[in-house]
Amino acid sequence: MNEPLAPSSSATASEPSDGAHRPDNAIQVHDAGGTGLFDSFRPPEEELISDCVHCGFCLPSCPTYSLWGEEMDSPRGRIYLMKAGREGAIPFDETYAGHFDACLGCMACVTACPSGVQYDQLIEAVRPQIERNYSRSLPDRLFRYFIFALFPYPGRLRVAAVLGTLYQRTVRGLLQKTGLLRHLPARLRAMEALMPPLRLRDITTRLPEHTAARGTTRHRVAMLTGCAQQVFFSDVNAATARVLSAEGCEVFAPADQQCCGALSMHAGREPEALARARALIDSFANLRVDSIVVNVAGCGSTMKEYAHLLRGDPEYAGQAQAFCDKVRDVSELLDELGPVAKRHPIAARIAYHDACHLAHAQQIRAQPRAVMGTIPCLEVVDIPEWEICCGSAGIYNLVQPEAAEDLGRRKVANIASVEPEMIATANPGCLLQIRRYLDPPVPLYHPVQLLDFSLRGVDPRNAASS
Amino acid sequence: MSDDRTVVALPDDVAAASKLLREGVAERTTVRFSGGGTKSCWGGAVNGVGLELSTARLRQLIGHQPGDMTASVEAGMPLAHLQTLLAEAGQWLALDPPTESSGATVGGLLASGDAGPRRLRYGTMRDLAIGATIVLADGTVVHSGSHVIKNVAGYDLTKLFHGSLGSLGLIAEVIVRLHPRPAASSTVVAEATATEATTAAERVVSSGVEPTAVEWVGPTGTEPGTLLVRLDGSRRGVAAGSDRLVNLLAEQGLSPEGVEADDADEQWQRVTAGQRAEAGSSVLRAGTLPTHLPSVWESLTSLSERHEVHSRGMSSAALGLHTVVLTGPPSAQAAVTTAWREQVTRLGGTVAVRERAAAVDAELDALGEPPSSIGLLRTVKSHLDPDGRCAPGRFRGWY
Amino acid sequence: MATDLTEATERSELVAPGLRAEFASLLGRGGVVSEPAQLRTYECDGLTGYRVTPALVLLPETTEQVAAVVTVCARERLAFVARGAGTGLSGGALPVADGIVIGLSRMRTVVSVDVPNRRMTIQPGVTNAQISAVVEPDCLYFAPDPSSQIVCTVGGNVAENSGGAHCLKYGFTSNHVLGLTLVTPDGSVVTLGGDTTDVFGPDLMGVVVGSEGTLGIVTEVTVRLLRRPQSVRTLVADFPSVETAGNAVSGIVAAGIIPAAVEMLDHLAIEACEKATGAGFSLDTAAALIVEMDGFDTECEIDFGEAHRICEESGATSIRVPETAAERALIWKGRKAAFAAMGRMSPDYFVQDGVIPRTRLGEVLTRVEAMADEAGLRVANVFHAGDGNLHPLVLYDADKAGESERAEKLATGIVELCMEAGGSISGEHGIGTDKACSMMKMFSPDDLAVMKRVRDAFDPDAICNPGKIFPTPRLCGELPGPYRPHPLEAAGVISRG
Repeated sequence: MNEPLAPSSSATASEPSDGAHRPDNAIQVHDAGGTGLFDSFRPPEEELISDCVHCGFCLPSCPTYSLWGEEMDSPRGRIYLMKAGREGAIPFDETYAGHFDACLGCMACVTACPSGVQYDQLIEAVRPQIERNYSRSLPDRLFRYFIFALFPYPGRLRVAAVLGTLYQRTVRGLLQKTGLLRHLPARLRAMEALMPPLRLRDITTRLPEHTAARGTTRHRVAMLTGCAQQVFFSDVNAATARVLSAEGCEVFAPADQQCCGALSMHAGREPEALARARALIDSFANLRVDSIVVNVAGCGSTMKEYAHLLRGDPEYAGQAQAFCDKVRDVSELLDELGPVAKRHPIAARIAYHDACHLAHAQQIRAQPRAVMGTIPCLEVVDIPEWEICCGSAGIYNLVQPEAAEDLGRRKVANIASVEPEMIATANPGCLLQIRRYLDPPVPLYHPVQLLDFSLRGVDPRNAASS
Repeated sequence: MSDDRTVVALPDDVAAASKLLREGVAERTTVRFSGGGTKSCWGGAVNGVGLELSTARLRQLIGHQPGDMTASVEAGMPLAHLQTLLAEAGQWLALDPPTESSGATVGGLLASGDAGPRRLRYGTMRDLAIGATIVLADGTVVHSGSHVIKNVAGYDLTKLFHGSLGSLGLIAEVIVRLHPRPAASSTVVAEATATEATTAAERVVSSGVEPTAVEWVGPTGTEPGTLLVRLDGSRRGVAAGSDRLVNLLAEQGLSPEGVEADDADEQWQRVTAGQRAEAGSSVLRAGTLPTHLPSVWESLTSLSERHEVHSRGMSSAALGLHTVVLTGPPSAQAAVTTAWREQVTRLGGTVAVRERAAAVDAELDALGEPPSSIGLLRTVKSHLDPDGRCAPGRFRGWY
Repeated sequence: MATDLTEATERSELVAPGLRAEFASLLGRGGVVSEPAQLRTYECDGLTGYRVTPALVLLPETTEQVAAVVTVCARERLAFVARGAGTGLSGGALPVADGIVIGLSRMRTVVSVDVPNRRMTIQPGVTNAQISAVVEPDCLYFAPDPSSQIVCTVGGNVAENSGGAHCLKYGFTSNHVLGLTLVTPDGSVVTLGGDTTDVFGPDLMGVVVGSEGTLGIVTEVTVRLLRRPQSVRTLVADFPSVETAGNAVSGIVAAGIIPAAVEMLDHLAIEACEKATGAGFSLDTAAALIVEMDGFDTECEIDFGEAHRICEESGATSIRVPETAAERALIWKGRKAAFAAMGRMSPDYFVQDGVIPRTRLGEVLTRVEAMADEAGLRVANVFHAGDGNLHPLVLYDADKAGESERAEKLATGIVELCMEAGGSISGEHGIGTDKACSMMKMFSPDDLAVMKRVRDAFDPDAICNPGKIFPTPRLCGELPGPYRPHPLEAAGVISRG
């Protein structure tokens, strides 16, 4: 496809502006054909749509089809809707947008598709079209504005977390007792319930900017500290740095790094996402590292797409490609490097939950298992329906709470069926979502935390729970 | 069973059969189809028809394709004769109905659905017939299926005629799929009660050894019940399988033994013979879930005792099929049948009466209550045979 | 039939929208799909060449709901089409213009499992693979295994009498269905078959299985379960030509062996499967056979050894025997993804489903090759060699002038070749919309008229999946092909919004 380019941008790599709903003015890609409902700025491509032979092999892997059994809420049906959209035969209304909003973006269909349909690219082309061309209801707009004004900002998130923790320790009990909690709107209730119990100390912990390798330096890595990750899961970041160091990596964690833009990208807020991508590339630009390590599945999958996202931006295209080439999920890197540090046994049965953005979006399934497999006595078991999303999916469990709850309960039932003593998953969103529905509770860890326990010779059952 | 005014016709080919039927349209001549006559008493009696159309002269092997393992035959071909012809190529039509030795024909086996112990592995004509040529009452000649074993083109009319007992039209030709004749066969025999036999059947089928038949012959007088398990296959395979079976049944506390081929044949012939009725006795056929075998037999035994009727019989234990012969006063036979049918029906099963004395016939319906699909059966019948000419009375009480 | 279909369409056009509220009262609002965009997604099944947008899609959850909506359809003489997962390859679930689609995708409850009697009752929306998954711990499984088994539903399997790779030894769906609950086209509920395998009277169930949804809607299915074979042995043999591979198949059959499955892939098919799944097929071979034996271990070993020997003697260049169950599963995954994976090889393709007597395999395949050369097109072959069920995939590019017409002609020619060889026009995909016209070549007018009488007995108003199986003069005046307007569309009776 030809990509006529508009003059390059001046979009600064700082905070994205609020006029974020216009196409990114750095990149103008026009589709010459009739694009129907879509504007000509990167509509879903005809060629990618026509790759779908309508065989239906994607249906059983699709979370929404599993829930509702409706063709229009299946990957095949959504591709059909894109096609109808391009033909312009139908209105761009709540129904139309709703079927795309209902898609979790888990990409299980990409794994399942025998024809190699790139649904990931298709859905990511449609979401910004919705943001631009469909007017959401005011409450929906406000809620989304609130989410994107909060989550990508660790500073604001820390304040919120402190307030939230105080709330949990005081008012929540009262609300629960009086039953008032049940009367909250579903979206607020979801947000309330997903908030993890925290110690104030954890909220304020920051990772050192530099951690030296233990022993010989085998590898130099830059580490993404994430936004929600560094506030709610600072212990995972700490464990990641310790493990990398123990395995001979020199670790850099620049303090000025900001959100990678994954949440925005998955929600169709393309200009915002692109600005964040450029900013992150800039903050890692001066580091001479072999790899850029991520311990959040959702962030990693977007960071690996930077080159594609910025393909039309002459200023950044080259840098983005170089950046992408270095991005590794932490399990991917550890598996590539191979173990050197001594492991201590952890005798436990652990269920590994494949995060969609690791298993489907990045096709990383073997590596986390291999990494955990280096821990003596640890029994790693798979979960039935492993390919089906847990319902977390970025901000999905906040904006589509009912569907997310159904999927969360289904996932937890599948986990319970293998009777694990612990659960491991490489995405904080999955972890929060699963924890919400676990009854009775089962400890949840990031795989790298387990490796950290093993390296330190600590039994996780004796350590403070995550 | 022919009445004086029934004309018996023996057409030589399909065209002749079609012509005979077409000629009867104007007069609405009623017609009965006959083959080897081994199951003419199944269902309601068909008396006083104008025409009996016999397949006695429709007995050609039309074609045998050994490489494709298919054959087409005229409906009047006796099964026993067909097996002799196929044996030359090391093949057989995988059916062993008890009526084979008395002249059962291929067409009759499709029309009746009759099959023997080895239906456990191979099924019935429902599974083995892959095509048929049918002649309707108005003389229309219909072809269904083809010479290939896998075929989903059009409605499967061959299956529609399975079990139709001549009530929808004449089955004139049949195409069947064939199996290689097993090189060897072995049988393991053990004394067993109904409960033991049911457990054993389940264990045998779940064991991974793939038996071709699991039959249980019910106790009579002082003779205890006997379980027979048959294996067909290669010499080495059946030997190993039979060892496995002996161990398996012994683990269950039975005293099994492998039987030599000749003895085994004799045992299986006894099973066949045991299903034939003596004059004045009735043959009942029940179908239930396999696990209902003990309760079915328990109720039969107690009813027989109460009505002073002698009963014997056998079950295809892994399939839940039971064949029972009652001997005694007709009214007592009828009473046992009625009560047993009621009990079996309550378990979700069915009971049909095959052979029976006229006095028994007068007191009950051969087929019992019609199924919930009776409305459909009636409309199918009326669409294929609008004047009701084919085998009137065969499904007495149903249509 | 043509009149029936037109009438049904005209009636439906007038009636369906007005009935929306009545259907909603029966199913709840969530059970009625009526937005134009949503309806578009139901306009075709796995065969995308034919597309018709329905007036409404209904998603019932119980037998009672199906009966209730069918009763309304019968009262209004409104055409309806049942749909499962929409994976059919013959357009069997193609909606009737402005008629109703009754989607069974929400009816996926396992009603009961009876392990001692080896049977299970399920609703029609349960997938084929799910049946086996439920009873896996009990060492039982459901034998029919169509390639789409991970997604296709048992209701669809019943409608199409689905087969699969392993039906050579174990038979088709028809041989594994013990009972059905059927909502007849007048809305009444009947059961066919049941607890006993001895059924008296004409075998209605035998006709309903494979009737492609034209005799009613099946709302519950009781299936027979088999014990998982004690032993399974599989080999993948490479051959220098399709013909030598065909000879090996004949050799195996002639030796009196009944393999669980014998599948053949030619070079193109191997390439597609390999790209999609990386199952480990050799990319430099002309043809490969997958031969699988299963059953009692001793017998299985003997037969496997024999099959291995026959492949060698027939000229196999290499024979691979998978060591683990996972490796074997990957081979089957590769094979079963073949059709869908063909999208990687060619922008467009036709799948055919002809059957030939297996002794004529080599001859017919050679002829197909010659026909393809003549047409200047590529044909990939992937098929169930053991039972002679061919699936030639005619590859073409619709954007190249004249290519789709040539492909159409070639595809039709191949099916006619199968019939000439004494076979059938469909082994497992069904007739549906796609092959209705070819029915006239396989059956006489009398044969078809009698099938029609059976249909009339079940569905006197022809409201239940009309326009399928039976050739209609309107439809069959044209050549079968890729997408072309529905005849009613061409006639200006309907239009797509």
